[in-house]
Amino acid sequence: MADSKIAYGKGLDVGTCNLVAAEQNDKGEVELRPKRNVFIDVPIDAYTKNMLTRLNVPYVVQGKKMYVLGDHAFELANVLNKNTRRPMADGLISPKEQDALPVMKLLIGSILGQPRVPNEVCFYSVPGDPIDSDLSVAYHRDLFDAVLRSLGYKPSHIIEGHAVTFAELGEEDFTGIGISCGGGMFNICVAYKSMPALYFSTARSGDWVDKNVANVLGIKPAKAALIKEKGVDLIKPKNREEDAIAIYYRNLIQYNITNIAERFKSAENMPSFNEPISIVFSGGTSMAGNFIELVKDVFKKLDFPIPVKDIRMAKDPFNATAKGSLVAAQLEMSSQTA
Amino acid sequence: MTEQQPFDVRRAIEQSSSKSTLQELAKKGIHRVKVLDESMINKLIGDAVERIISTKTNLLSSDDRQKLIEASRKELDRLMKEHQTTKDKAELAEQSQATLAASVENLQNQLKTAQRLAEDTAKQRYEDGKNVMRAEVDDMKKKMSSMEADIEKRVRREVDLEYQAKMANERIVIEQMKTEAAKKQAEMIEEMRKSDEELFKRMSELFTKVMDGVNKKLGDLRNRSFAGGGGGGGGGMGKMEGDVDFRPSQATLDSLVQGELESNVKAMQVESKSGGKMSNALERLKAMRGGGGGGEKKDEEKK
Repeated sequence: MADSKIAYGKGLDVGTCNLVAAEQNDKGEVELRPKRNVFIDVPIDAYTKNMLTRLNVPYVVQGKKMYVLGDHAFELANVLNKNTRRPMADGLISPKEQDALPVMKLLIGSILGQPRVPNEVCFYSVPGDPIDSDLSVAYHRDLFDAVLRSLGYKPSHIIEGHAVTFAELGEEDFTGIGISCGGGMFNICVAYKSMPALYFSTARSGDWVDKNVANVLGIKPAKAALIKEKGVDLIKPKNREEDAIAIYYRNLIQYNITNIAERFKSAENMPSFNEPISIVFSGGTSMAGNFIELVKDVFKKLDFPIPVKDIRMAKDPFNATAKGSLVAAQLEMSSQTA
Repeated sequence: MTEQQPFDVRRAIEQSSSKSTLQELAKKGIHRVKVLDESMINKLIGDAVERIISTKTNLLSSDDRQKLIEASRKELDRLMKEHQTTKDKAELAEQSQATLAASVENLQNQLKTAQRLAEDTAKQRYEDGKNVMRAEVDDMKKKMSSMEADIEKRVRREVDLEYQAKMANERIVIEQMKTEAAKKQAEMIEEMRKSDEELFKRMSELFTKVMDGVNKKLGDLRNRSFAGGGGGGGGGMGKMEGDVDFRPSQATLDSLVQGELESNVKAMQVESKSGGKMSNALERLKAMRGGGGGGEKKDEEKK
């Protein structure tokens, strides 16, 4: 029987690079379970299976292929100097990657666990319509609805940027701009009193940096991602690799902030704010050293159409989307109970 | 010793006088003149001398007078002669001046004549030279044209020969190339035939695949329409009206997510971490929305 102290509902950040599940435990704390959204082919034989199980490395067999999943796949790719395979690209699952969906289902199931109550609501994040890509968000949603339903959840989705505002802008009446900088996309949402007024995404983010750094340095993108995740100061890069990362980061920020400003200027349904608002950045790509300083540097050179009082990093940037999704799910669950 | 010449009155008069025509005298207003003949003049001179001598030299004897006369005559003659000589010299000088002027004039005339002659001669020579040169030029031209014609003929002949030689070589090369081209063409035709067959085979496979895909999509759409999913008005397939997104059918979704894969994932311990408490956000949202849901899906459904 369900524990009445627990606010049911689960949040799931479906990112190009990472999956993060969030739920509230019986202590009233948010419990987070992240998993890298990658896999890598390994030779299929009984010895390998046993060895992987002993080493606590997750694998899955699909037809005549065997894949190592999650963070271990990422580590293995760097050891073997190979590229990981990704079920998603540019924030969405592509119709070309249908075969990866069962693998994703397995990954999602492993971090979400079983529903604690029948038809427990699970809010998963989806990108806003991309302004520079023609991938279908509807197709993406249909697939994840099906995956979650097959896992026993009542699926619902929330715009990624909106989830960030739920997680980070409570003190400001959920009014402001939430930006999630994921692996495949920048997701932007302008919220007014918790309602999303305008949201969209751009298909250029951390993967774009990795790909370009890999090109100029002659390394694999997975290696570039590893260098990036070890920690790079974007204002004071220390070596050639960090120089390349800093250069592409600056370009990435310039591209996205400019696009955001232009989109806001041309939007017809923009709310008019009485007071200057805050912009909150979240997501793994925003966690590079001095990211916010670089954003501020680019921002002050722009004629931004909305009065802004603060540009800041989310308190928990990696988990903000999952946490916001969780809040949405809990709200939904509470409305059902009511 | 020069012989004593008698005094020549005529000559003396001529030399001491000037001649004038009657018209010139008339112009000067002299219409009447007195005329003395020579003998009278001689007599007058003799009488005068005699009278002077007789009046002034009474002390002299007749011989002495005669001597004196003789001496005077001689002196007169000498003076006359001297005068004559001086006059001759003057005349001679005058004559020389005139002669010189005449000579200068003559020389100038001669010079002009010589210049004219020289010019005429030069002109003539030029004309002659020109005529001669023209003839020579004409001759040269004829020779040149003749030579040109010869050279042209020779060059043409050489070019023809060379061209014929080259053509002969080219013909050989062309024949060789034709042979090679024919071989290559035959090979290409064979390759193209093979390639076409390959392409046709591939196209057939691709077309079959595409048709399978289209059939599958049509099947999906049909399934969706029967299953009643999607939005929009209208009946049957009308549910897809305006929906440009590719949406998988329920059957497709079921086939994708149903079934279990062999995996050790469920046996793995999933790491989790605490993210702190978030009840404030939830309570605020509940207060703002009156307990309403926060999902976009709900909004979409309302729409």
